[in-house]
Amino acid sequence: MFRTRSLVALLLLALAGLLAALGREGQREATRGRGSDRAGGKVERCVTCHVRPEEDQGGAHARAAVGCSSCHLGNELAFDKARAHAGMEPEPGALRTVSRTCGRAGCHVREARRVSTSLMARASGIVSVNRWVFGEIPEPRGTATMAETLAKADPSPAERHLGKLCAGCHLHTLRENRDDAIHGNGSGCASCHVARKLPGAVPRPHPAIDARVTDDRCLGCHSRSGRIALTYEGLHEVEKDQAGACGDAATTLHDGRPACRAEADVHRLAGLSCIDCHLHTDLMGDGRAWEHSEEQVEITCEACHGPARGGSEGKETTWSEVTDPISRDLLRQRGETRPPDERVRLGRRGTPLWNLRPSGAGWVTLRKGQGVALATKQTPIDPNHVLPGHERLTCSSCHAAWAPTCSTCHTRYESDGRQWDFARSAETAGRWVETSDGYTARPPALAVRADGRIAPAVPGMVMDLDATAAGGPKGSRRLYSSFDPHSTGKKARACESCHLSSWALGLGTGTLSLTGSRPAFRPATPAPDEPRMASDAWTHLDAEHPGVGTRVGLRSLDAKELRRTLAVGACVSCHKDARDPVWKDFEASNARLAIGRTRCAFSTKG
Amino acid sequence: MSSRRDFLGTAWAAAGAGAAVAGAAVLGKALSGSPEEARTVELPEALLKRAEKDGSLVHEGLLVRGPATAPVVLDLTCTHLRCRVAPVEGGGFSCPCHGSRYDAEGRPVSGPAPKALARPHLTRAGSGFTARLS
Amino acid sequence: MILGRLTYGLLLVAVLSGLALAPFWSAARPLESLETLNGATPWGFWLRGVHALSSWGFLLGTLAHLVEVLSKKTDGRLSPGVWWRSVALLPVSILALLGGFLMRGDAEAQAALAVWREVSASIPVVGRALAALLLGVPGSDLAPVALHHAGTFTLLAWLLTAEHGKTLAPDLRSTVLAALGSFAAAGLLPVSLGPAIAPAGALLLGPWYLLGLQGALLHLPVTAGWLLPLFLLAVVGLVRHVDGRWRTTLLAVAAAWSAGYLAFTVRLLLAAR
Repeated sequence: MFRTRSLVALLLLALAGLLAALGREGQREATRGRGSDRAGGKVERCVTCHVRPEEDQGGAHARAAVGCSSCHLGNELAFDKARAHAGMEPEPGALRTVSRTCGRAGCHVREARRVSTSLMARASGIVSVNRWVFGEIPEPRGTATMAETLAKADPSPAERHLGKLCAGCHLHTLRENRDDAIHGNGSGCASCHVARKLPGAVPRPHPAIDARVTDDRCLGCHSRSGRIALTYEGLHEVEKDQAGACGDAATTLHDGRPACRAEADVHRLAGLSCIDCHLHTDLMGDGRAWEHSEEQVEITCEACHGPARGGSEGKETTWSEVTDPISRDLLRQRGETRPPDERVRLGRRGTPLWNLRPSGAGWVTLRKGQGVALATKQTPIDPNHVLPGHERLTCSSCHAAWAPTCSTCHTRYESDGRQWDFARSAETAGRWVETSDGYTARPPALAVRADGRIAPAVPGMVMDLDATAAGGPKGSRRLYSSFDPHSTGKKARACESCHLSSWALGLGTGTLSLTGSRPAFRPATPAPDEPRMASDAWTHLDAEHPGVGTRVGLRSLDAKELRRTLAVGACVSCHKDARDPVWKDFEASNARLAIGRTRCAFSTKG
Repeated sequence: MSSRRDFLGTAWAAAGAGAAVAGAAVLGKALSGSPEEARTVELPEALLKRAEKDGSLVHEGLLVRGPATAPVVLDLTCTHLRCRVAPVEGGGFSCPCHGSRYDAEGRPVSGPAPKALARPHLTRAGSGFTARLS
Repeated sequence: MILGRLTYGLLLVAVLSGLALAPFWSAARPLESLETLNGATPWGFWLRGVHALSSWGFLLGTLAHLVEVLSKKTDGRLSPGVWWRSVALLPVSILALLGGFLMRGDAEAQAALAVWREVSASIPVVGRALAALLLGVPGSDLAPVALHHAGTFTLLAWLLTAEHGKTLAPDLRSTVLAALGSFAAAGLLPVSLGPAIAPAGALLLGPWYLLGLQGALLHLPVTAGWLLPLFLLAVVGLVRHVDGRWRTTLLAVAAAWSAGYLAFTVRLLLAAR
């Protein structure tokens, strides 16, 4: 039936197969873990191999309680490494898989959903402003998200700009996409809640997971754009050729950028972390898709320090009225309770400031991380805070000591360069180049927000844009941005720093003269398109319309407001004190001045 | 040889008899008209509250969402060949068997699925509900 | 007829290795038990490989032997009854193998179970009852599947093979060759298991021998799941009863059917990419 040769061939094949089987069996036996195969009451074969104590971060996420696969996915039934690791999520909490990791049923579902709809994930403000600046949409608002932008098959020039520069700070961006600007893990929950990976240490210990987010986690992203995290720390980024100018104050940022040390925020000096002020809804959202960060952020100065003049902000209630489930969960997890009749201050949308507690006649701020409670000064009702004419000022208009400022920004697209593309997870053709003639740290200018209130502003986009090589526009933009720079000083800025400062008033750098019949301003460097305007300004004294900002309705002071502010400016050189009687009724004081009942002479530089 | 034939013959006779009995039973059951027992799933209040708090949850193959007092329940069984569909990123569901896609409301978007994901009939059961799947 | 005898040998190897595997399998936790067998039991992966590969070999041998018989026109040597029962060996083998596939309990097996329950239920009148008998009711464990895998279909396959081969057991030499071949193959080609839950967005395929049918269900109504195979069996069965042009025509139809099956297989594989 079978020839001998066939039989010999078959026997040889069988021998080869058996030898292969022998090899596989030996390998299986040698590589199989010997640890327990159960964790958290279920079969979890990951822990047969992952037995080292440093792989267990303990706490609520202890290996024995949740195993590995609850967070890291993969195949918890398999013994062999390749199959066990198939489909594994190296970065639990990354938003692409968050509904199966941190946000899985029974865990942090609510938080995962909120973060996914929060601005850290959507980045819709950056998207809309960027597209507006490129002239692609009529106004700087919209609900398009960064994820949608990155997913576009045929992105517009602005969307390509976003994909190559801005998308790095965006929770959907894959970790392996991230350039050196952002350290650590960063495509979801881990961006904030997992400690930075320590380079070099192999085998690495499991990084700690903590609800107490440390400031270095915020720094990765918020050291860009408005640079609030740097400002808060008292760090001021400079260009390489400026580093020498700050002498002993020169330093280097975590990612190698040169910087100068400046005055840190008074809250930072008091040891407060970002999370001590910012509410969970500020950071993780409240489930609603806000368009811009100032809409999502609930915390206000007044929420802690009380209103300056009994305004609408600084709401208060008692704990018996609090319904916010997350605040209640936070307290429970920390083993804290609040008596129902205890007063509690609220954020703008009513979220309780659970770490601000009444103490005697005042309030104390509990630190969410380490440290003793901090007495929280309430805004005094004194002449400085009830000065007529200052009704529209936000706290930071006067209390923000400085802001990082760059009024010479040049953005161009070079089609022959190459750059990482966050949308494609690869380096692709084309490169956006941003340059500037240098950054300064100076008191912020003032802007009028859409709600009519006055707030700090900087020349956010006083820039030249050349996107022609990307099929986009070419031209200059003159846009200021308003935000709280996070540089609250120990003292408020002096009256002159606004009323006699062409910079603060948005007129830019130049010489302000109040000696003539009407105020005059000579720009240090006139804008190429408008000689009456300084190159770093967003308005001038004769402007028909106020300067435009990066939000709908955000504007510079208009001509009438400028005249009124400068009229005060004429007097503040001598009448420095808010208690000075001339301020009681400035109109009447001015009237006395007009009929020559006083003597004044003034001239200043802006 | 004859013993083999005898054995095979007996075996076939036994197999035939077995098949006949089983066939009769199956036919009997089919013809008796006894309706398929509908599957019911209890949705206690605690579960509904958790679904409300979390936005939604999956329980026994059902997606539960909406307020605890008036939940909306979707049967995550593909209407094509009854494989379990899975939520996909950006909302909606996909079937791993033949690639049918549904939108977030369970309406078929693409693939062979003939109709929307079923919405089980809900009846009040104490403080919760009972979902009845056809 | 070496092929036929070797195929019979493979059946014996499959049955014996299956018996050896039975104590390691759990109807309540099928995948977990098979992972334990594969990863934590000495030579477990190999034993499972021997079982899977010998049974695949049995199916392939059966098919190849059928083609051999048809091409050599030796079908006429069998009595009509034996011929039709021999043709029935093909679906019986596939049902036996499908049972084994379902017993894996992984995501693909769970999906295949759902699909086959619907295919079975689409048979008029008796469909639902038949599905419940062979596959259990939704929500039950895999015990009914295991019963028909190890019992009903294996016994039937044995009976049909024994009758066709006119012997109750394969000869020793074929058995040794089948065993050696299976042992070797199990060392060279490890048989994998899938994950418990399908990766998001992935298309599950099912057993390789049913890919064409799975592909057909992308486009055709569910009744195609049993009508298409039944049509092929009828065509192949009838070949024994006709000659000349009719035989050629029927064989051409069977060949066209097989080509279509392959096309659907390719279609599915492309969709899954």
